Amino acid sequence: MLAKWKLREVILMVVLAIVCGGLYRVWDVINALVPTTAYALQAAMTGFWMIAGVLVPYIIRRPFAALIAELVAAAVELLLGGQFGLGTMESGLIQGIGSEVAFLIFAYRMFNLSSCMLSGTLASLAYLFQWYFQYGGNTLDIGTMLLSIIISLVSGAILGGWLPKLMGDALKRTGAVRNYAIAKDGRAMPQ
Amino acid sequence: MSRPLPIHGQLPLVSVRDLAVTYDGEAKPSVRGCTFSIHPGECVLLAGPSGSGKSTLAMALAGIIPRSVEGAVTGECWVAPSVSKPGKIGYVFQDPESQFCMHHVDDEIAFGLENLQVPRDEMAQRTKQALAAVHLNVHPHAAHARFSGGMKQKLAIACALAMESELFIFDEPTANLDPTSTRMVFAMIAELRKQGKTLLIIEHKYEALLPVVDRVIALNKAGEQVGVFAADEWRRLSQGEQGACLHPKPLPVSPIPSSDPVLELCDLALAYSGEQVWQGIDAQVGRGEWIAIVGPNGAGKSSLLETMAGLRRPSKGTVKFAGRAITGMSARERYSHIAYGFQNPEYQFLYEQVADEMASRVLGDDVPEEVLHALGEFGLAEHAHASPYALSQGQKRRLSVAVMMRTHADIWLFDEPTYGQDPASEAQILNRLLQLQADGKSIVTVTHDMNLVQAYATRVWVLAGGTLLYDGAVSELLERQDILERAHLFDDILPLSDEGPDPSAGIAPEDVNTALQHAPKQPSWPRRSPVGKWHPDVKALTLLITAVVCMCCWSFDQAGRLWALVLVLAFAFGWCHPGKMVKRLLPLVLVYVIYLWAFAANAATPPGYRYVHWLWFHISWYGLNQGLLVVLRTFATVILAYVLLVTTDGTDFMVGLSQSFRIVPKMSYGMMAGMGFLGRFGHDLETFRMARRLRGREGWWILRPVTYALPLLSQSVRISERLAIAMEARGFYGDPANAWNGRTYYRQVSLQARDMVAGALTIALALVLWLT
Repeated sequence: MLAKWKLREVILMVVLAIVCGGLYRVWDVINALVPTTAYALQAAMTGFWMIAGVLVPYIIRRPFAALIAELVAAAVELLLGGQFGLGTMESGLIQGIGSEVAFLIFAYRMFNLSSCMLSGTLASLAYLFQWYFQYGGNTLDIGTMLLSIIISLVSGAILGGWLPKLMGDALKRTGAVRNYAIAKDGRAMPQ
Repeated sequence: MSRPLPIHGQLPLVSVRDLAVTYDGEAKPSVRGCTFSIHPGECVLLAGPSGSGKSTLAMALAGIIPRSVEGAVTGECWVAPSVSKPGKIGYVFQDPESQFCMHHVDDEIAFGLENLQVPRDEMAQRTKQALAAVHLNVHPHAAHARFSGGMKQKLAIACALAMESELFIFDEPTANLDPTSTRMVFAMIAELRKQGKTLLIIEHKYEALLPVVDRVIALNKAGEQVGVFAADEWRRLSQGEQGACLHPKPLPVSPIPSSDPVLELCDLALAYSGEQVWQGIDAQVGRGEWIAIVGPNGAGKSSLLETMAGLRRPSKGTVKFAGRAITGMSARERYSHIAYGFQNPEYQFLYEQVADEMASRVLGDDVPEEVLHALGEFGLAEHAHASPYALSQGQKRRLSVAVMMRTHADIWLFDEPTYGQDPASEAQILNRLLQLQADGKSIVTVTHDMNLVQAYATRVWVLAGGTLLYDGAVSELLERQDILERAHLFDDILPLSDEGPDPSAGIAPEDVNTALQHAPKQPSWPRRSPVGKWHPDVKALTLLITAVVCMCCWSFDQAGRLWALVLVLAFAFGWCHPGKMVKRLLPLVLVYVIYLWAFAANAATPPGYRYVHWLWFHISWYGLNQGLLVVLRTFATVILAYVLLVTTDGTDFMVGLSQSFRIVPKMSYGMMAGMGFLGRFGHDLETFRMARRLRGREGWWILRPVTYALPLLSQSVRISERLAIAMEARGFYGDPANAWNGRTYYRQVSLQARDMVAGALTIALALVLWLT
């Protein structure tokens, strides 16, 4: 399966994931400055950590692209000194699985706004398990908890699904990704 | 194609007839009508203006098109069996940065050998021979990231030599190099020819090479073959043309302005993370001057220019504009007086449309006449709606100059204004600058092009050895052999001689220093520890699973026991240095203190627990306890991550994936190559920040990552394409790339029973500690 990838797709995947990992790291810093008590804002930030899982598959459109990209992005975030330790890799793994499932549901044939937003949402949903069990989500009172969950899912759809799709489209307009699947598949590009 | 007829009893290596190459998605071929042969031992120069398809033609001959780049090659193309095997055509690319996929010299050379399935025992010997052949006197295990450009190009040649390439293709190998490094590469080319290698060279400034060139294949702007010429004949034909692009003129030498300088540098110094780049710089720029800053690669010329523009803060000293310190001026005011052009014009683009870029605001579909007119002046009118990133290199530079021309600055700072330009657009840009100069503006350019310096500069600054070595007239500089030599400005224009070895084929003195500096250190203690010797991938998986178990702690008992395990792993088996660990992790501890407070002040308390209301906080012991637990288990994974990072070699980790776990080499080696990009990341971000500050669009800092994303991404795409092409050109396709056992391995990452046992034991222990 992986042998079907072209080398330049592998390298692009890594390089994009590195950029995303760098952005995640910046986001980590911002996140640390946001009062941990501002639960709604904290939850609203969630989606940004999912962008690699949509941006990369949206451009190269291969099975496993979402999962591997999110893992590599997490590894880069870790290498750059992220504060979550190996927990980052765990997040990367489960968010990557979440993102991947969305594209799998569409048999890797649909890469449009709906599949991208679904991907971001599922990644957020996957992360919520970790949040609930490991990052103390379970200690919150039920109202705050539900609010956090809903905002996280919406954030996943928007920051984690729509934003990377916009980035991919913008990148397509620059002509830089001419040689990748995104440029060759007109169906998935309603403009 | 039928087998070509032998000439002088020799078959050609490559023979093409009416060859045309058309990229996918393009209507017209990029090159066409090419008919020529290259014979063994010949040195052939491929000449033509930029955009004439020289690289395209070379890539088609090497099989890179259509193998790695989609395109159709039509006509007849015959390649001798002796060079049609992988690695028999060695390709040296223009950008020394993006042709390597490993991190160390030996791994790099071995990468090609692995693709050829050379047995491992032979690799060290062949590496040594190849390094000796290019006079690259470095430790085989040195990291090549900080080599000079010239050394990197030599390494690329060594890689090809080790693979026993027969035909060498040089695709503008000196475009990014200073004059001395250029000379070094040229001398290497002459040596290769003497050894009987066949060479195909693409080079803009080829005069110095002509003595070793046998024939010249010329293309015109439309990508058609003009003809094949003997070197002498070509020299006669092109004499007029070469002279036309620069207009050397006797220049009045501008005296160092004694009064009323536009820009003053007072005792300026710059240091990066403790390392002094340059210091003690006192200089002035007067009205109507054209100053050229020259010096070796890595002397800090660009950072000097950036400091002069106030984009970079000097570690000491001040820059004054018209007598006022520029740090005291607002960014808006400063950049109304100072215009700045980056070496890579892309850094300056802020918009998605050429017309928007020109107008510095979003225009949409209606482009005002005035903007179209301004674009027209630079030949960009028909691209008004295109993306700036989609323009050709020449057009991008013209656009960035056009945008700069709309400001009414007094001083123009330009980093390599003619880099990557063909003579026509070079002349256009330089003429613009001449006009500015005539209007009394001051111009400062960083450049490697000594022709440009001689033709335009009224004064030259030589930056080398950490300070300003020379500030004065160009003509006097040319008589100062000592300075020329130290500043790597030595005779790249002198023709190569056919006799005897060229002295400059050796390594430049500065390069010896860098090479020695980057000699590998002894592996650290953690690397030599039992954890350090553990199979890297098994270790990573084990530590990851252990981290997941840690993250599932529900009580202090569990957390305490697992912490004990983590600490034993880190110190007893990992030999980590406690002091270093604390230093590295201290900033994170602060973040965790904040988390702890958040839990203490906000956790929901079950009935029966005490809490205190203060302001809007809900402070409870219960919350503090809960928070402490979350912090403890998360921080355990931070320590595990630290252990993993300090005990693991990244290359072993990636190679191990293929060697022990049969992951497709394309994946593991591709990832490793991509990871090299991480080193450039910081630099790129810094430059984007400066570019935005310059145009007053720095933006709210939280939103910055978003505005940086697009240029950063589009640049990433290009780098990854180049990297992939370079790797495939070294034989990384077919079995060696697709099957774990389709290649040999230089690094031995062996998976043994004890690795697995250690992994299983660690995980079992973690689970037991968690359960009890």
